[in-house]
Amino acid sequence: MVTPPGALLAGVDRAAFAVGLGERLRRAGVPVTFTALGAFTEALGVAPPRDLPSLYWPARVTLVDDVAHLPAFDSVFDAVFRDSVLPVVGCPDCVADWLVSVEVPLWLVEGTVVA
Amino acid sequence: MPPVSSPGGLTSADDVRDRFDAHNYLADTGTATAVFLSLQLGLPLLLEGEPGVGKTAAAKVLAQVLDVPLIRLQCYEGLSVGEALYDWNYQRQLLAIRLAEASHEKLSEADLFTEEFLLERPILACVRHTGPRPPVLLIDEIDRADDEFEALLLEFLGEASVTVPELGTFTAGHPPVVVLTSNRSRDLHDALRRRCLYHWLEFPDPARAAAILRRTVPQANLALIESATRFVGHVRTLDVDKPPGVAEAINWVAALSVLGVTELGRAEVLSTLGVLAKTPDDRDTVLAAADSYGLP
Repeated sequence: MVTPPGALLAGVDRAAFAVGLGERLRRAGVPVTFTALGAFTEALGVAPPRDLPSLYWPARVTLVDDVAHLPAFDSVFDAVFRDSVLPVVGCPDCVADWLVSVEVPLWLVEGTVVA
Repeated sequence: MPPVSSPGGLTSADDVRDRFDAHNYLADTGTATAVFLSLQLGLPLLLEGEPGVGKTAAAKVLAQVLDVPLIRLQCYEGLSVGEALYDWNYQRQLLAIRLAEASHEKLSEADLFTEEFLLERPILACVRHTGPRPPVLLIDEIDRADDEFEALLLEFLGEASVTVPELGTFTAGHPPVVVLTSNRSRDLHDALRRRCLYHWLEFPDPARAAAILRRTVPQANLALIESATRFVGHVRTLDVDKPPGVAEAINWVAALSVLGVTELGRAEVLSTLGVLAKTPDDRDTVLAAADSYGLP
């Protein structure tokens, strides 16, 4: 259930990642359902993100079900992914460092297994 | 990692974009991703956006790309089970009763509610489709149907099945590819949204709008397309009742082109106004815009 090597978030536990992002979105007022988290987890498996757009779109298509929630989704996504420096491709240790070092997404560290 | 194959052999969102491109539908990354994931995850896709941004066209092109039949259900107020899912063939039932009476046979109620007397409507037709590959079902403008109709769809959207109380439950051998569209004229129920992947289609930015027009109205000259795209973009920023969508832009450029227009001016806007402005108020607004926009 970890993302394959070479992906943007190589070696990251997909389910934990999805749950973490979902929690973050819920706190921002986006009503993310359990079904949606399942779909996002599956999406990360069938379309491993290579860059920010290929992470953004599967997340948005599965986790947001109403255009009214898009602004909140975008601001969380920006805060977590765009405003922090993403680790280089295919480097699990970098992901681990990044998860720990970035101030905002501390939720990612809890329960996130890095292979 | 080897590419994952989905119905129709689409291997990635980029692949979806390329295959749609080959059918003259220029999909952006969001639309391509939504379509790819809908196929991969086997979930219905809810496309929402203003009228004319290409929601229905996306479903049609998807059927072409997958090379499968498109089954379309146009929604309207009062749409019911009998028109959307299935109905009973009352004439045949009546005939069966008459025949039984004439030959003094006994006919029980159960004899009259068998598959023989069942009429397939679009959704049951999809569930019972027997071809090698599932069809694409387009449930168009779901926001026009009533809340009750949304509730009727939930079993089908969740389990790809339809229950006929008298007969039992029919479940699709190959779950159909389902695309729902909504112009957001009213809010859809959460229960329906939860069962779908969701994509909000934006009106394309000027560069993409121009690319779409170049593709769909190849006979129009490039300068005309560019100025028309800019003007449509300008009109969309105004307070109009019906902001022109991609469909209106395409029709407008096609109309201008048929009239032999190569350069956009006030007279040209006036002669083709009906394509761009759909209400009397909008006619005034668009004409005023043509004046203030500095068209020759």
